Order: sequence, then C-alpha cells, then structure tokens
Amino acid sequence: MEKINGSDDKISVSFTYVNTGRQAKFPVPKDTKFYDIVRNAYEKLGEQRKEGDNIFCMNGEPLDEHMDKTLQIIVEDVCKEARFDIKGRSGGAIFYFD
Amino acid sequence: MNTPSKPNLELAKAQFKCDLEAIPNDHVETYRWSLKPDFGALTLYVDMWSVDKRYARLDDFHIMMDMSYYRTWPPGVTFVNPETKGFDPNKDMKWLPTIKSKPPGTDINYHPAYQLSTGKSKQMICNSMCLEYYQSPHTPTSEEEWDPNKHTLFATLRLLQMMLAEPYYGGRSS
Repeated sequence: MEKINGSDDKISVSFTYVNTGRQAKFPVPKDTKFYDIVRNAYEKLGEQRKEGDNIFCMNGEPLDEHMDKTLQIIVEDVCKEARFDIKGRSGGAIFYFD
Repeated sequence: MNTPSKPNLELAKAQFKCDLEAIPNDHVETYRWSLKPDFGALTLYVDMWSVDKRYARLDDFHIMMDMSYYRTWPPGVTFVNPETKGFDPNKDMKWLPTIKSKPPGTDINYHPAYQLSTGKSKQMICNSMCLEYYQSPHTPTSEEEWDPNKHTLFATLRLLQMMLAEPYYGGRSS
C-alpha cells in the first residue's frame, strides 16, 4: 500500500473505470468513508454513476455492501490493497423469441 | 437489434491499436496477461491465468479475439487450445473455463458450440462485451449494450479475467 510523502494518514487509491480503461489515482485520508471516495473517483474520471455500476476490489471482491466503511477498513480487512474497479452492467443469457 | 457487419478495416485497425496501447499496465502486470496482436489479421491472442484472491496462478487459458468488427462491435472471443489456436468442442473442452458464480451486475454463460446468425457454429461467450452475443438472439438493455463511443477491448478483457478469478472461476470444463 502506497503512503503519501511517508505519511500514515493518507493512502493513494487507484480506480479503474472498466468500460473505458481510464484510471484515477489520488491520495485519501484513511478515515474517509468509502462512498465519499467513490463519488470523488467518478468526478476525477469524468463519469456519472449509473444504477447498474458495481465497485470491486482489484481482485474481484464486490464492495457494494462495504460503502459505509472507512478506507482503512476496506484496505486492511477487505481488499488488502487500494486498487479498485468500477464496472458497468453487462448482460448475458436473456433470449428474445419472436 | 442490428446484425453486426464489419466496419472499415483501416478504422478497425486504428482503434484496435489505440485501445491496445491504452490498456492499464497495472492490470496487465497483476494478471500477467500476454497480449499478442496481429494488426494485419485483426486478431489479438491473449494468454491469461485463472487466479486466487492473492493473484496466485491456477490454470492457464488462451483467448483468440477477432477485432475485425471493432470498435463498432465488441471483440469476438474464443477460448482456444494453445497448440492449435483453435477450439474443437470434441477435443478441447479443457481449454474452456466453467463458472462457479457470477459477479454483481454481470450475466454470462459459455457455450462450446452455438449456431450464430452468420450461419457458422462456434463457441459463444454469452455476454454483451463479446461479438458473438450480437450474432445470436439477445436483447441487451441500454446499460448492458456495447457502446462504441465508450467501451474498449479492455472492458472485454477485464470481464474475462474477472470470470477467471475466485470466487467466480469454476475450474476447467471436462
């Protein structure tokens, strides 16, 4: 996990917007709620959150039920790192018959 | 829904090159993707691994992407035998992964052989980030549908890799 200027108070986070491959990296105080960090990530990516978007740890662990936790808890207890993916909805086996 | 037709091949090649260079390096390195483009043939051959939650390698998989409809349509996707670079459902099932569970917001299925609207029977990865989905009778919602002004081949690669990661990966087919 990357510290900012040797500080223990902030963590450098990285968000990848999967639809486009664009990334946003920025430092965040450890005690920030994750939903605020996600909102900030959308702004930096120039995207608007869509209803079907889901947030994941880089390793694929879903984070939608952890949004009210702090960054510190997310990084130490859930993801074990500070890299995240924002993934749009993609569809599959729904068939249309005339 | 329109049936996919090939766009201008020079445009497909230019967008393929541009989007290949823009793939985030941290994903390439973390998942150890080996990306082998052939811009003349408009294909991308990819070596991938299924992984556990700490990115430890489990099983190797190999994907041939057809970029000839790109970016009007998503890449065509076929899991292939690395020796033949093809897929014969009678011989090569071990090279097709299985699904244990699906991530939130993702519906996907793997069909070893499927009759497409092109008249051809081939493997189909049933998801809106793959060309073959649009060559068969599906109706994606506007949120799910491939948007050539937004989606890039990274969205397809990331989807395939996510399905090769625990807890979604279900092992090789038999």
